[in-house]
Amino acid sequence: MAAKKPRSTSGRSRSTPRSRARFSFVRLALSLTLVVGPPLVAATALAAWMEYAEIEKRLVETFDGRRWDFPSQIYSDSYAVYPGLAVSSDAFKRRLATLGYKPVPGRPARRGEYQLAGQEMKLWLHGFEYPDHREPGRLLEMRLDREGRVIRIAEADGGAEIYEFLLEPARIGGVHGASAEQRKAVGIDEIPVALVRAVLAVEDRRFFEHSGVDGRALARAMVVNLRSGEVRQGGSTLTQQLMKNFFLTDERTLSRKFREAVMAVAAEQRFSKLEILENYLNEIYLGQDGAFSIHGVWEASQFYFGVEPSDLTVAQIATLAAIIRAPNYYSPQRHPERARERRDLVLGMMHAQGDIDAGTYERALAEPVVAEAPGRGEVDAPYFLDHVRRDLLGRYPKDVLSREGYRIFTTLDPELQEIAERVVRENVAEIEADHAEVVAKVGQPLQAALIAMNPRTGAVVAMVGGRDYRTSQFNRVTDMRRQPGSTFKPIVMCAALGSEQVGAAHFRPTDKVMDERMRWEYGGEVWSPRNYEEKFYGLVSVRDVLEHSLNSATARISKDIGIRPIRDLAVRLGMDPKLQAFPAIVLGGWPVPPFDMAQVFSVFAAGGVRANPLAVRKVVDRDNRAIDGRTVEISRVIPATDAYMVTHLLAGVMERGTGAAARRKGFRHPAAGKTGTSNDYKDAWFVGFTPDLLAVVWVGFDQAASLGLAGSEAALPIWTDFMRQALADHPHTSFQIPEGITLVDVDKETGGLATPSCNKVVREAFLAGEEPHAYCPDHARF
Amino acid sequence: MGNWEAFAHASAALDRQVAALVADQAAARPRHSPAELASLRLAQRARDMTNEGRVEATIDLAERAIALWGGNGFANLWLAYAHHQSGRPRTAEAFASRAGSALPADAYVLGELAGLRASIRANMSGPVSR
Repeated sequence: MAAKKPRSTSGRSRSTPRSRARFSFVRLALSLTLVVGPPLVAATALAAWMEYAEIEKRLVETFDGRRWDFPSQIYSDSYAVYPGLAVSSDAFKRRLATLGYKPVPGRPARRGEYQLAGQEMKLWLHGFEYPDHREPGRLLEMRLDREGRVIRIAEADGGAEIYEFLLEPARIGGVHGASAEQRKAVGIDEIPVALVRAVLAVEDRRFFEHSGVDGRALARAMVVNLRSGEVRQGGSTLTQQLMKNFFLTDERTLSRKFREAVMAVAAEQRFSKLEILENYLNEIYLGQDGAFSIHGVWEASQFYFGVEPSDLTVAQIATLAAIIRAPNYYSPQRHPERARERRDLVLGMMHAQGDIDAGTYERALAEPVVAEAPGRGEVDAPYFLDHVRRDLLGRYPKDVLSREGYRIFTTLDPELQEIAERVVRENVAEIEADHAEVVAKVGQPLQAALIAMNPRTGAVVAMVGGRDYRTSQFNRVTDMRRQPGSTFKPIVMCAALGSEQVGAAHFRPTDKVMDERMRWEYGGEVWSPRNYEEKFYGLVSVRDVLEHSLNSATARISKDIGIRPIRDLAVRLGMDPKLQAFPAIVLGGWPVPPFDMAQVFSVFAAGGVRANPLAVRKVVDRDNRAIDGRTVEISRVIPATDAYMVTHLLAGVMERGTGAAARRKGFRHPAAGKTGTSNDYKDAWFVGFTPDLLAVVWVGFDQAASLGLAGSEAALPIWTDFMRQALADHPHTSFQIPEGITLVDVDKETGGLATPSCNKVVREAFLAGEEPHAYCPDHARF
Repeated sequence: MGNWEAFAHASAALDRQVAALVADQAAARPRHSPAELASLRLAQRARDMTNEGRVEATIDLAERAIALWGGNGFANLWLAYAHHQSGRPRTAEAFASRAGSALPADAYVLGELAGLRASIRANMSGPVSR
């Protein structure tokens, strides 16, 4: 029998080595716990507290400081509507469509709608924050005449008569950072309650009850996920979603979820429910506009429906709330059926929670899901935008432009830009088709450029730097230098007719010049220009020289004036001071960009006053404070009389000369212009203007090669199509006759005062005192 | 010059011209473009802005006025005045020069313009363009 183990007298079992070791370990552990535990717990708590403090600090920084990068937005010019303007035309309707206005059969019910019925138009303007005032979005009534021109404008329902109102500028582009986010942050008070409640209904029904994390929602999500065997619901509150978007990634891990929950609780401790809600509604991703992501309900309202949130219909509100879960999957544009199904679900929720009555619910269900992105991406002005961005980047750092949410107001007219893009595209395609062999032989696409300006203000209203921006971003309006050909001749004529020239160098429009082969020795070289038609016309008037673009006679006049005064005048009118003085410049032998030609001719159009070209009018910050305001800057560079005489000659070009094809195509506005063709038909130009609008057109190949077409054949048709459409709604305006000009009817052949027997009579402009006093010698017996 | 009342005659002439163009537009065959009337009405608003001391708003409205009709002498006059007030004498002089060729041939109105130009010249360091 084995001996029993002796019991310990002390009541304790006698320890074995193993139990002793265990005891020692426990004792050690206890001791350690007692010694280390409290500091460890304290350290852990401290670490947790520090982490929490860090989270709170980040929260405060984010909520109080810069939450988002706001890209700067670039806007077109506004458009003035006044009595006399045609508003029932297709052009005006296009203008409205570009801005997101929709025609409705009955009286407009909300901003952004208009009704055109008979001789009346009702238009409910969008609200818009102009740099100097706010348009609240008024309902206006316009009475029209039978031609659709406005007779009277008044605020609706017997409101005051107004004499002019503005259609708001269109957003035409922006300056984005790497994030490429489109967002406008608005206060919670600018978001309709119905939209807020709809969002809460689908995303976080117990938002106002939980403290950042919703246990019930989590449990519900867990059940759903377990049942389905996949992660279908996250159970995240709206606060958690906001924390994830602000601070975390999309990774699906427990640690991320934990941090998200801690942050949500911290956020709820630190900020009010309304602050969190406002941030959420401005932050959420709601779709994609090409390369740009749409964030926030304001931006989404604009993107999908072309209205501000306050103008959303119930069905549109439900649609926005519906797509939050998966904006691209439920995209109303790409998947309208899916969007409709989910929208109807949201409408059901809104009805169930008493936000909408049965009638509203039924009407909203019947409303189609229409999201046509009105007013977005329809203004195609890529070259103009590049021009503006280049200007802005010369003044502001890129990150300021891409983050500060500036609004940049430009001079672009969206409708004229659309016309310009279209006529360039169509005409160039037509020329290419008609001259396929030439184009094939040259081996490069034909190109064209167009710039249009208001000559009195210098405002650039349209710019097309090439036929297709996608294939070539080179701006041929501003960056290309090509020989302007005969479009330079008006500068010669200005020098010849102008009051500054005296003696043999001074001409009157009726003076005769010999058009014959001539030699001009200059700088040791001999220059002998030929005429376009390879023949000479003998004795011709100055008017004939310009109307028929005679090279040899122009050179003769230039020789009498001297090349230096002509060169200096060209620079004064707006050409690059690098312009050299040599004879061939008088026939356009010095390459210039179309932009410069626009400046030069605008001086003639504006009565001798040069307006600095203007593309950016104003820059304001997000609080609508002016950062940069540019005004029209003008300076008189030639007397009004000189400008008028050149204009008068150029008007003759349109009536009888190389520009007459414009009249045959139906362009009737008082206008003046000049064709240009460079050597070997490498460049075709037309520069022309009315008192209201000037346009320069160039056609040619990038690598200079002969197209075989003159300016009147390649560029003039584009110019004519553009001007005809651009001015279709506008009343005719005549060139103002300045003091110091005398208009006299003369016989075109002799230049004498016209008699009833004269067959060819023109009204000629003379500097007062220079007009003829003798009757036409050939028809003096009348 | 810095006193707006100095343009009382121009202001009255503007109102008269607006009234005349309103009558013209009501005629069976108006002699003037409706853009002229719209432009003159903008010039009236620009004048009101100037009366309120809102120089930038004056410039905005007057620029819109000349964009519609460059022959609007009053808009050019208000622009000259506004730029003069803003310390841009050369631009002011250019607009004043343009106003000179576009304002009605009324001795009192042209006298007011002459007063403005004299004031602008006094602020210019260089020669005045003509």
